[in-house]
Amino acid sequence: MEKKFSVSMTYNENVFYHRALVSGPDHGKPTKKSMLGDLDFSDILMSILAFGLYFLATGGVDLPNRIFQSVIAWILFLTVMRSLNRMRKSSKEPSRSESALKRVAKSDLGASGQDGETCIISFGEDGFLVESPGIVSEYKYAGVTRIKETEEFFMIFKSRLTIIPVEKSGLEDGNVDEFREYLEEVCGLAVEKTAAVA
Amino acid sequence: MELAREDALFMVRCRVTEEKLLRLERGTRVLGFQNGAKKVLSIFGVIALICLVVKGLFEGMVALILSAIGGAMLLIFVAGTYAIAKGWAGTKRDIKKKYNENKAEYQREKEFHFFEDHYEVVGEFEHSRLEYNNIGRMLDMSGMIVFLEKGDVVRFFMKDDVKKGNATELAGFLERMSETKMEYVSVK
Repeated sequence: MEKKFSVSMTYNENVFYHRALVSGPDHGKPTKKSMLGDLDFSDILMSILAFGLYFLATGGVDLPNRIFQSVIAWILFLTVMRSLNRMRKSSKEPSRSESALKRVAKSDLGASGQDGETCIISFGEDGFLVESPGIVSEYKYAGVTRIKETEEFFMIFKSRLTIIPVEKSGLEDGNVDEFREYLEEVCGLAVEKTAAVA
Repeated sequence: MELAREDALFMVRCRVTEEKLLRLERGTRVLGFQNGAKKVLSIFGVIALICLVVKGLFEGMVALILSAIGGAMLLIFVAGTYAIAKGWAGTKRDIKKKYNENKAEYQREKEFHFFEDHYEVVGEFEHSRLEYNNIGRMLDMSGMIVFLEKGDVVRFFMKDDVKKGNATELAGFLERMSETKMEYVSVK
């Protein structure tokens, strides 16, 4: 593989911070907020059912007491559903604040087992070679689905989950603008600039 | 870089399917938080049952208190069970969507060639050569072998996808070479 550009870098928290920065959902249209807040329509239906069942199950109790207890049961049901929905939403859509991204970066770095490891990426005509201790991977440009750019990195997406970080300061041949142009040409994709986190 | 695939001790040929993604998700849930949530809910269910059974032995205020506690616990149990079922239905929808969005990539065939001192992953756009010490964790999810590589990469295939050698021997070989114990996760 004839080398056109070469990048040398070390995996650290900063690499994973920038990876977390680009791997979140795109900032498209804001999602429409429901009038019911964290509850769905089906939760309301289920809570009415719970109210009815509780009302039927407390047949021996006088009517005001039955209604009171059933209302309490209804509120309890909605509260539990709301908390569980919130938990589910926060695990699906994690916070994008700088501190949250730093936490994700720290955890991802730990899970990756690559802290402090060096890596050399050589860009050739048809693809690029990623060499790190014990792993040599060759990827074809045709398999690249997206390229994003942050202040310090280019992030090459092989799929939604496989992202190869390329540190700008590690570029050994040429400059950042030439490299960006080259990537766009060989991958046939436009490099997307990612806004910095506020 | 590539050794002839015929020289491989074991060979796996696979594609990612929706069923495999679902199995992986179920297995991950068994390993993680969702299982904890189920345990907490079971505790609520058991307390509800005990309160509602024991209240029959008492009369007056004690029976009323037990009945109220039992009722509340039962409601939490029902709400939690419903929320988990709803969450799983949402996850299934998400996996289907993810699968359809990435169908072209998932349907590309991938081969794993396991040699004496390394293994290779060969796809249409990828060719990786890895040493066994990169495997950090191995899981057997009821018929699916999953291994986690350094760099947070998850590889998975069904035992039926093993085309050279057999899955049991391959699992033993991987345990020996990576010095990692296979963890068994029951996935229904």
